[in-house]
Amino acid sequence: MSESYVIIGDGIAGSSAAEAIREEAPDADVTVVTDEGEALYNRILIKEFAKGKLPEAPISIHEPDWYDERDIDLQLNTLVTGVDPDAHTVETHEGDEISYDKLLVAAGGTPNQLPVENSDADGVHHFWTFQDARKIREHAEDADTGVVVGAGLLGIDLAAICGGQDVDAKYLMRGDRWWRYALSAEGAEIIHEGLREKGVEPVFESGADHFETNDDGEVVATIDGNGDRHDSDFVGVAIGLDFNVEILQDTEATIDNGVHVDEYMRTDVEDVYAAGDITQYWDTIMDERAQNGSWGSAKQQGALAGKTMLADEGYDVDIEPFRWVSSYSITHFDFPFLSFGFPTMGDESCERKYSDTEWRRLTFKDGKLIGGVLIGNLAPQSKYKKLIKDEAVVADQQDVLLQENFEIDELAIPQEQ
Amino acid sequence: MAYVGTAHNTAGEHMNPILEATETAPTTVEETVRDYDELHDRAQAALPDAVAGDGVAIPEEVADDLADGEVVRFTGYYRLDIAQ
Ligand SMILES: Cc1cc2nc3c(=O)[nH]c(=O)nc-3n(C[C@H](O)[C@H](O)[C@H](O)COP(=O)(O)OP(=O)(O)OC[C@H]3O[C@@H](n4cnc5c(N)ncnc54)[C@H](O)[C@@H]3O)c2cc1C
Repeated sequence: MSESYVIIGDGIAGSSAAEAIREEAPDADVTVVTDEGEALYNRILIKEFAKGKLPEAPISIHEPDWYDERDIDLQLNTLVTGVDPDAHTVETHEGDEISYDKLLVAAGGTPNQLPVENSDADGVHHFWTFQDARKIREHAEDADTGVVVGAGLLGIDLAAICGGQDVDAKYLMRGDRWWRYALSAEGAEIIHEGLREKGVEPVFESGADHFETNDDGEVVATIDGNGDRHDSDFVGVAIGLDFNVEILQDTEATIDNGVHVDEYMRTDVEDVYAAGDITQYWDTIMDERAQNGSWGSAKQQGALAGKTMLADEGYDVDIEPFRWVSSYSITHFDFPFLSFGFPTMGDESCERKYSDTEWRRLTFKDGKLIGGVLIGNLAPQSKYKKLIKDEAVVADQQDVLLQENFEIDELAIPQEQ
Repeated sequence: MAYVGTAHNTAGEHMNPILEATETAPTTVEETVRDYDELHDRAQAALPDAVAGDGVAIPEEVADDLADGEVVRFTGYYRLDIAQ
């Protein structure tokens, strides 16, 4: 009998694992289970669909044929409700059991709801799936006024959707600027200006206290923490994710805002692996646990998890520990924005403004570059990523690092590295 | 024309593929589109220059990461042309 690989989640992590497994193990049973009603699509681009820019077709990545051609059993609309590591089975919402020899949990996260009155009213949107994007698009096309809550990377997508759909929107932020953990006031102001040009007004030191609804239960206004009322027949909330770890609750897996995995994507439970947004992985660059919420990282982790599952099953495949500098861009404005590494961490930082739409901030820990944010000019990103990967001690050379164009060989990097 | 390559590239600049990016209307696109964040680091480094200018000479491995004729979303939607 051939061995069986079961993958929970058909996002980019799960799908990349399935592909990696099938490439090396042509005869294995591979099953991908997803609670969504469609095969892998481009989660990054659903915001473009919601803005009304892209039609549906270009967002699809895998048609069901893709799985048929590779003899991968794709089970749509199937929610996994539990894992029994002793029996090596997973249970689905319909009570079916699926047996595995190796199991990958690539289940990502679910958006958090605001813990305030009427946060589940009609017209209050959270944003993770294509289905969410369809509802958001349909509603935003009709809406006149909007409010967005959540001053981070997903909140800004909702704000850009309001801008793209001509919704007169306010973007409520708790602090004095957008993404305050990664940007200074000077850098954030470039983003605020970009938002204003799109017709979205940032409101600072604010946040939703509760929502008002009409008799039909539809949201009509947002009352902020200062008591100010903002008309809003459209509301978008993006205040973080709750990772879908409950299926591992009755196992020995270490769960801590995600699932602990080693640098090969193994959980603490034999024959159970995890990949993508859901992991708290061992970061071999930082030498500590870390979590990424980006497409590139999820893809790499999925492919590595697939290979590790094969290697642990006895296949002769090379596996390298996960060593990846993640990045995430925002391209809603005329100028691009890119965050890389861990821009919200560190014990030191430096920054420079080059023009009205060009700015850079770098963060360091123990003298090593660990992350940063680039606005306007993304050209140096590969050099910074290389310095992070090399764990180069460069915090004492910030003047060189902040030159508009710098070369790595202009830096004096201690040899013992 | 800009050159986006490694300092050690020994091939003559004129031998490298040329990447051009032409803005296109997304609503008319039917094939799969890739986002900037899905590209390999090397291709990410080349794209902004291609978008800003007429064309950039790129190393072969960057050309391998991209497909001639594909549409990539960056600050707009760009159809890529890779001339070998
Ligand atoms: C609107 C939006 C914009 C984004 N923009 C960017 C960007 O510009 N750049 C970038 O790098 N990243 C971006 N991201 C983040 C990126 O999409 C994610 O980091 C990535 O998709 C994570 O992939 P994953 O496979 O780990 O998880 P997911 O894509 O979340 O996939 C997990 C899958 O598992 C399914 N699932 C969960 N629980 C179960 C269960 N019990 N049973 C069965 N199935 C289950 C889920 O429904 C889902 O389909 C964006 C995300 C969103 C939502």
